[in-house]
Amino acid sequence: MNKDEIINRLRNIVKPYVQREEGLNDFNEETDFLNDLQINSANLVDVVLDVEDEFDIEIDNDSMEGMLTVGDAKDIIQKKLSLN
Amino acid sequence: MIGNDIIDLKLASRSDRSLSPRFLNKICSTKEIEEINNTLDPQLLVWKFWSLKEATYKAHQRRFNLKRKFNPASFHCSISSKNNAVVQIDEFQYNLNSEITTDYIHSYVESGYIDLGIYSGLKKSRHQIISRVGELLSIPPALIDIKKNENYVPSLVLNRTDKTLPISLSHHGSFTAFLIPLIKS
Repeated sequence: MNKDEIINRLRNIVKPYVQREEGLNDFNEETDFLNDLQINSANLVDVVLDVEDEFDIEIDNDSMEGMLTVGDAKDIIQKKLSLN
Repeated sequence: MIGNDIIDLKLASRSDRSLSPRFLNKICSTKEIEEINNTLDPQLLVWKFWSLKEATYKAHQRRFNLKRKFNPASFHCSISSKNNAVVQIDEFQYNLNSEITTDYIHSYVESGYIDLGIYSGLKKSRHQIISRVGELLSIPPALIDIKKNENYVPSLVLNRTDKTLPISLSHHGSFTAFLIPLIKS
């Protein structure tokens, strides 16, 4: 799966939790879940669970720790997919 | 060492996942999960743990100027009484106060004298927060600004004085809470 497809799927995953819609217009690797999209931190757990379902991977707590931007999430997904 | 967190219980109760093992494993320790499974109101305890962890995270991050990390399961909660709890992260322990009403849970790290404001219906806007802070501190809002440092930790900046004050902000659903150490005179 290429980078753009992962980012595109991520955009759909986070959409329901976004509180700052403008953040979705410029959705790229730099986009910060908490600051740019204003996803509340409890919903960040939902994002992680949805990512697990969408990509059929498991995100352990050590990986989750660093999942703060779209780029972080993309890196983790790519890494986990390569292990499958 | 300030940190606070508020949970809007109406909004939290909409999460149909909060009691699923997958959700709990991401945010709680085995001991906490056992407590959740053995209490009369499991969902309330999940969100109480969550607010204790978040409030402690904020205080701990500010104290050591740490980079952001999303590691709720590393914060271990022990409830000591109805309104008191101890949260441990690595070798550090924090004492917290937790208040539960029918509408919200509010937790904060105990750290001497503080000013505390809890508001409902505030928009998550800088302007509204600043005007409430001004009321609380009896300072004209025009002289107050909020800025975040490189780790996104917020402080109040009092214009024309170079003075900054730590502030802990929390927003969830229709509730906003903030906490400021009291200026000792």
